[in-house]
Amino acid sequence: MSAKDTARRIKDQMIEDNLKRAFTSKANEAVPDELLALLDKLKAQDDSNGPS
Amino acid sequence: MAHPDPIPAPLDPREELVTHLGVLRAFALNLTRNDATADDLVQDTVVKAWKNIDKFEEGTNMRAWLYTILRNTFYSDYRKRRREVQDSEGHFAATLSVKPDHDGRLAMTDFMVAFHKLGDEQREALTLVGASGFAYHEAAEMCGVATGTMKSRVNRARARLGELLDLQGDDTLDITDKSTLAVITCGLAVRRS
Repeated sequence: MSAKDTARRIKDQMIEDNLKRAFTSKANEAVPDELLALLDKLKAQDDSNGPS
Repeated sequence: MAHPDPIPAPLDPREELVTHLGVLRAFALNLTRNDATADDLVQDTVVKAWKNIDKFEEGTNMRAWLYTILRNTFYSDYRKRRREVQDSEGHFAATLSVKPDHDGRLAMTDFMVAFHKLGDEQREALTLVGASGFAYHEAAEMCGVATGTMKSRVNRARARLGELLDLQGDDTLDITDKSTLAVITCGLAVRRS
C-alpha cells in the first residue's frame, strides 16, 4: 500500500469516526418532552378507537 | 429436564417505533441542519408512521422504513422552506455537546461546520452509510437510486469533506516514517476487522 493510499484511508477513517460520534451523541440525547407528549396522544387515540 | 425459555412475543410495531426515536432525531438533524426543524420533522414522521403502522411488514427493517418516511417528508415538505431557518453560520455546530478531542482527531466543531456545507444528497449518503451503518444497497433503496449511485455519492461526499477540512492526502498526512506508517496501517486493519 502506498503512502498516498494510506493517507486516504486514514482521512476516510477520521471522517467516519467523527460522523459516528456526532450521530451517536445526538441519538443518545433525551427525547424532548414534546415528542413524548405526542406519543402519549397517539397512544390515547388508539386506546379510544379500540384495537386495530 | 429444564424447559427451554419460551420464544418472546415479537415487539408491537408501535413499541418498536419508539426505540428508534434517537436515531431519527440524529438523521433529521443531519438533513435539516437545524435542531428545531429536525424535531418538527421527527414529529411529522412519527405521526405518519403511527397512522400507517399497519403497512409496516413485520420482520423487515423498521429503521429503514422510518428513515424512508422521514426523508420523503423532508424532501416533499421541508426542503423548500428550510432556507428560512438553515444554520449556515454553523451556530448549531458551535453548540454541539460533543467536545473536540485533543488526541489528533478532528475537532468536532470544525468537522460539523464542514459537514453542513455539503449538499443534501451528500449529507444524506454519508449519514446513511457512514453514520447509520446501512449497506450501500440498503441506502440506495431508501433513496430510490442505484447502488452505484449511492457509492458515488458517498465517495464524492468524503472527498468534498476532505477538501473542506483541508485534509487532502499528501499535504496533511505526510507519512515518511516507515514505523509510523506500519502502526497506523495496523490500526486501520484492526478497526476494519
